[in-house]
Amino acid sequence: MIDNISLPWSLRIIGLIALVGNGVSTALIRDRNHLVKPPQLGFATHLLRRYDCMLLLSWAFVNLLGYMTVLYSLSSYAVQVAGLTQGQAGILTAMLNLGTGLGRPCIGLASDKMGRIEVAAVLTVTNGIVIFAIWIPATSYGVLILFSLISGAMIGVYWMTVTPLCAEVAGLKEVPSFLSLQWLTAVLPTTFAEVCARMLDRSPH
Amino acid sequence: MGRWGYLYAQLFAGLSYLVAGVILFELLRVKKMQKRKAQHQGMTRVR
Repeated sequence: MIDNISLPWSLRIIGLIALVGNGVSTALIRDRNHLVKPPQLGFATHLLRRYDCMLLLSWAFVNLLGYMTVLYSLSSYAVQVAGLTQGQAGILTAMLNLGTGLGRPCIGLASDKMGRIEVAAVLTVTNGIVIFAIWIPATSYGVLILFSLISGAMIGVYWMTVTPLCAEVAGLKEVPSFLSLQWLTAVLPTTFAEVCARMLDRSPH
Repeated sequence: MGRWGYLYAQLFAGLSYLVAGVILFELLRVKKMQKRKAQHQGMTRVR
């Protein structure tokens, strides 16, 4: 798209797609607050005193460290280590997103059938294993495509399962308050994970 | 950049997911324990 219609127009088109998608989604949102009557606290300190809630927040924090690192390191790894072209690295990112598109609905269905915490736990561990088994030894385009597809389907497990997990752990009434804590927890790892990962590689060993 | 130029970043990502998985399995254990406790209390009340 950049080659054919220039970078400014590519960015404008992405912006327009995001505007239309988010506009339609916002118009379709309905809340059930009049039925559930949640407390909707911005910073629910009573949840921070519960061990199970703290475990879920810890999972979110540590999980997002891995998520951001994979998401932002994969294409530069493909160029700098595997020796692929920028175009091939772009295709890898596209494959990661394709995996996400295919994997997330499947994660949702599996969560409903087999248990939310069980599926999230198994997929989180599987992500780690896939990184060790496929990404670290990968140096060819084909293997990196395979990794992108498999990993893309699973690395977003946090975004797919966090709301139902909040409901399961804290109860339906506490979901808005607990989600507020979740987004607050997500700030640090999503901002600094990639920086930490790159710093680790640049430190003198 | 050499073959292992991204090794530490990859280890960081892989270990993050493994540790996160262990935390979630601990949550699973806690929830199962809570469920068992609630069932036990329910049975005691019925008796």
